[in-house]
Amino acid sequence: MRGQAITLDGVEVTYPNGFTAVHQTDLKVEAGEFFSILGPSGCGKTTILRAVSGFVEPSRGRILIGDEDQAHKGPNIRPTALIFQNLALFPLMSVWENVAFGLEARGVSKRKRKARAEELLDLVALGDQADKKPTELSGGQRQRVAIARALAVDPAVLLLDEPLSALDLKLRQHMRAELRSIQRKTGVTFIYITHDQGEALTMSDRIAVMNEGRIEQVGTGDEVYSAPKTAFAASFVGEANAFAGRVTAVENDMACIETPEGKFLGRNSASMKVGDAAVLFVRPEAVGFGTAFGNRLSARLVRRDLEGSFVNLLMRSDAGAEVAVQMPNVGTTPGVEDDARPIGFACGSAIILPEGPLARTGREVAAE
Amino acid sequence: MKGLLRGYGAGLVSVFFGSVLLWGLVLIILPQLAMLERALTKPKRQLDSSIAAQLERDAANCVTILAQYTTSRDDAPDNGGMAVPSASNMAVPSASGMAVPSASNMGVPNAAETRPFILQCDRTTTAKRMVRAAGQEVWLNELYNLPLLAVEQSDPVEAQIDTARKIEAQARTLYGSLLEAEANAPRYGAGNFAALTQPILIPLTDAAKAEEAAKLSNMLMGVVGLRFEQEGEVYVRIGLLTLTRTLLFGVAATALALLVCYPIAFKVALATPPERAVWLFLGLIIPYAIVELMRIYAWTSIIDNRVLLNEALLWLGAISEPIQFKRSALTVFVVIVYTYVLFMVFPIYNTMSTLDRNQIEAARDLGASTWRLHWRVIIPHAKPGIAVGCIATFMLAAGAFSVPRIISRGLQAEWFSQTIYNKFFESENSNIGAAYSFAYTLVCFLIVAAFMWIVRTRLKDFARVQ
Amino acid sequence: MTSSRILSVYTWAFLAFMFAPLILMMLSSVNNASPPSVTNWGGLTSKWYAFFWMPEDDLRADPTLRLLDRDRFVSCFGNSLTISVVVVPLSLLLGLAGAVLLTRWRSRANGLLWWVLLSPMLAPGVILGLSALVFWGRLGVNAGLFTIMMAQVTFIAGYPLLILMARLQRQPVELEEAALDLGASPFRVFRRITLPFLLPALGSAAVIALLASMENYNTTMFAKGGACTFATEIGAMGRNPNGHPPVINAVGTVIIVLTVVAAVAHSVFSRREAG
Ligand SMILES: Nc1ncnc2c1ncn2[C@@H]1O[C@H](COP(=O)(O)OP(=O)(O)OP(=O)(O)O)[C@@H](O)[C@H]1O
Ligand SMILES: [Mg+2]
Repeated sequence: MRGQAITLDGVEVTYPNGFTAVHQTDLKVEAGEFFSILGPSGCGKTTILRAVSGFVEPSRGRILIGDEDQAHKGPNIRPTALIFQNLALFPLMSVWENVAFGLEARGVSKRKRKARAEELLDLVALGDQADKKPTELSGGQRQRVAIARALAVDPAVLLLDEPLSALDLKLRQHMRAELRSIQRKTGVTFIYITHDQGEALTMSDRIAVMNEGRIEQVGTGDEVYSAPKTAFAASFVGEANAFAGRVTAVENDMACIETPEGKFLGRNSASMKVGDAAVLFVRPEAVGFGTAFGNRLSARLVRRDLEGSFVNLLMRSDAGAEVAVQMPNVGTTPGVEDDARPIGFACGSAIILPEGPLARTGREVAAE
Repeated sequence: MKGLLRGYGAGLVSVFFGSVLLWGLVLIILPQLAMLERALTKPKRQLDSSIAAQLERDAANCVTILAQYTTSRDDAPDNGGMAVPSASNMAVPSASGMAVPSASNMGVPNAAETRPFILQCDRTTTAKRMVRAAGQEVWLNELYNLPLLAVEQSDPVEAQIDTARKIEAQARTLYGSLLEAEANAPRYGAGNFAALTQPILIPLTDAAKAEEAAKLSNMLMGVVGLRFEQEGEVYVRIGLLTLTRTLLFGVAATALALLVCYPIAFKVALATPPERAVWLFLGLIIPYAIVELMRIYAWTSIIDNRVLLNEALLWLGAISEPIQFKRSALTVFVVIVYTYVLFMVFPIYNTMSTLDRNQIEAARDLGASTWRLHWRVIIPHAKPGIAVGCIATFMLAAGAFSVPRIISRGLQAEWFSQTIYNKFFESENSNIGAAYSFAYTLVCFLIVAAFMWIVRTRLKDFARVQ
Repeated sequence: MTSSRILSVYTWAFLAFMFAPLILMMLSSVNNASPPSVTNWGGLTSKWYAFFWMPEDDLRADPTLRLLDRDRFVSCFGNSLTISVVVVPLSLLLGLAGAVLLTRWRSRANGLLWWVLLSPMLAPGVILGLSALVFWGRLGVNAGLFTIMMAQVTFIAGYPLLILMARLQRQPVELEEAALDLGASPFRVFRRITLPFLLPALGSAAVIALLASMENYNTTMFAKGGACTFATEIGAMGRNPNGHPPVINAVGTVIIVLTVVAAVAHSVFSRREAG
């Protein structure tokens, strides 16, 4: 089966205990698209997947796969296949039996089942592991068995719930490429859940950024990264320096914001008006040393972290704000003991958005 | 519910619900309700109407026999005419408290002899004792305002017949009205439960009384009202006494088992290297798996009259003749502890063995003493197991039936479950047995619930501990 | 390390306490003396075992054995088997149903269900027998094998319940969901995923239920009416005030030996499996 489009039409999910995990959501995923949902832990990503595959009924709204309303259809009838966060491979069955289980449920003969399973195992480069038990495989191999198992039922939609979170970095990078190529080969619609923004940015056709049960922004990786629509999206996707203040002037598509660090100019893509509470975001790689910038401030270096081809610098402005700076590791960078020096960023690289909740920083998460 | 249906399908879910309904309702709840109903049902034979009916029958028979007697006397004066009561009349059970004809009347010719002794006529009197709780004397004529009438053997026979007729008529009306009243009266009452607190008289000589009264156990019983003296006679609330003793023995057995088992469980679960603990564990599982009755029988070769223990004591010269160990409640107690002690070990072992041994090492490393290690680390971790073990052991010890039955060979009804058995199967009134049994269930449940509340365990721990 | 030495000594003493009566029982089973004894040694004999197969005439000749009713004993044992044939599968079914509902049914009735289903395990055994007798008697069923079965199932089903529940809680719900998601019908999910997962637990639950049914005395005594089982018959033999026949010790010895062999085999086997 070729991939099909998925439409969420005003979907809201409330659990029996009264907690609403997903609020009023409209979303359209195109057929054959690699679509990612990106958001912090507990924001309702899994809940959306479970609603699409039929394990929870939306308390409001409709879910369509293709043109068909999925209301009251059990998960065993929907043309979806879900890859669980913990994979849920059947421990008592061999690898090929796992892969063939969906066919078994459809009454396919054993010979055909086995042939199909071997075909799929070849696709995920596990042809020689067919008779092992899942417990005898490595994490990455198990991952691929789960993918093969899901593909075996020829789904229109493949739903993946953070499938790579348990793998180490190298394997994760390899699997990203592999997933992407499987998706291209099969043409199945992928909905891919992750809280790793790198993963979402590298693999997806489009990304939805989600927070506290709401989708904040939908767009391509570039759009979400360079033109975030909300303060949360700007702070969650990639690193960003945030300066909160108040809009003092608006001109064409630019605006001026007054912050404790001074007055800055930035793009006014959210059409803010004078007097609105606002936040200016600028990426660390857009900040540089010198005075040749539209927006300028003076700061002293607090910490220097070497990342390989990059160095991350943490600066503290004269007014006390922390400013992250990222620059290629070429030439010398200032030492910690040096005096304050001028830094700045171009007006076009900054964006001014309405005030709103920000993604929690690592320190905030740890404090909990 | 929706999730269940989605996961298992309507067919399986209905099988599951059907099975659980069968189990919960037909096997658990309804039998207890049937038991409660039985316990609350007033026993048949206690009814006043049956006494009135009996009186009516006696009077009617008396009239017939007397009438026969007059004719036979007129026809053949020395026929003897000893009227034999028909067997069917004899078969009527007489309540224990019923007025018994005085033996002196029996067949002994009276001074003014008008007729020989006739049992039915002797019983024809409105002064009938009603069946009431022991110690209560209630008479039919006083209760229902009837004139005191009786067929006197000294009266002329015609007068006797006349009286008997009167009594018969009165008894008949009374029976009718009583029957109606009883049909409308509630069938149920708590009377059977009251039997539990009924005192019985203990016949004692004065010397024995003084000796008994000096015993500490009897003094304690007096304090809680299980034993009292009234008009110089000693009464004991025997049902309640057995219940109390059984529960106390149950608690004691549980406490002893806990003391004995905690170190064992600790040794096997945490203080032995795992590969050697397997064998220790085997040593515990074997006696545990052996049929319960056999574990009890094994003790008979120790405590019977002329076997190991007695022989040893005789040989040592400690005693001059065999001690009747099997008659002693203490023996029963020891065997109960032996039989059920392992039900304490395994729950504790199971929770303890889930404790990470590193935690113990960490605690020792931080300088904790052995005592503190147990108090702060091991006991809190093993608490659910300890609670479950205590509950299991208590229920087995307090509900023990096989141990006292086999060890004491029915020589003494010491344990409450035996009392229930006797009341139910060996006395006429099984309703009281039902009441005993229901009360017992209730008490045991209250104790377990209170215990669980005190130590803050939940029923769910049972699933985790097994 | 004296405290650990004390603990070891104590543990061995405890084991000795547990095993001593059993060993005495085994000794007296080969002693030609009745009632069974280890002090009054009457010579080695195997007749307490041979009781079960010796010819009728030899049986009559022995003063102790001729008082016993061998046929009755055998038929009581047969009753026990009949009872367990019903009790074990029924207990497994009820236990399984209860375990599934208690672990997978999220509802307010859950707490109540816990109490109801576990209450027979918390009640004294005699009461279960008695209430079965009264309840079925009211429905017109006379006491006998049927009431024994019902009374036993009431609490024996609790063992499979606890064992299966522990196992079910360890099975991630995702496994069943994954199978469902792959298009299997709920019944197939149960047959292919849940049941195979529960199989080892079902096996051990069946063994435990069988043992519990065979050895049960307290409940059975109250529900049996005129019928008899292996356990009640053994119990009845001991009611002789002069001491029970040593045949019981012979039966006990056989049980002990079987238990030891089974336990050792099981632990050796599971060790090999694990290692
Ligand atoms: N069965 C449930 N009943 C009640 N609340 C639930 C249930 N399942 C999840 N929740 C709540 O719904 C919210 C969203 O849960 P969800 O599993 O969708 O998060 P998530 O985005 O997948 O998080 P993670 O990245 O940690 O997997 C959470 O706050 C969670 O506590
Ligand atoms: Mg999730």
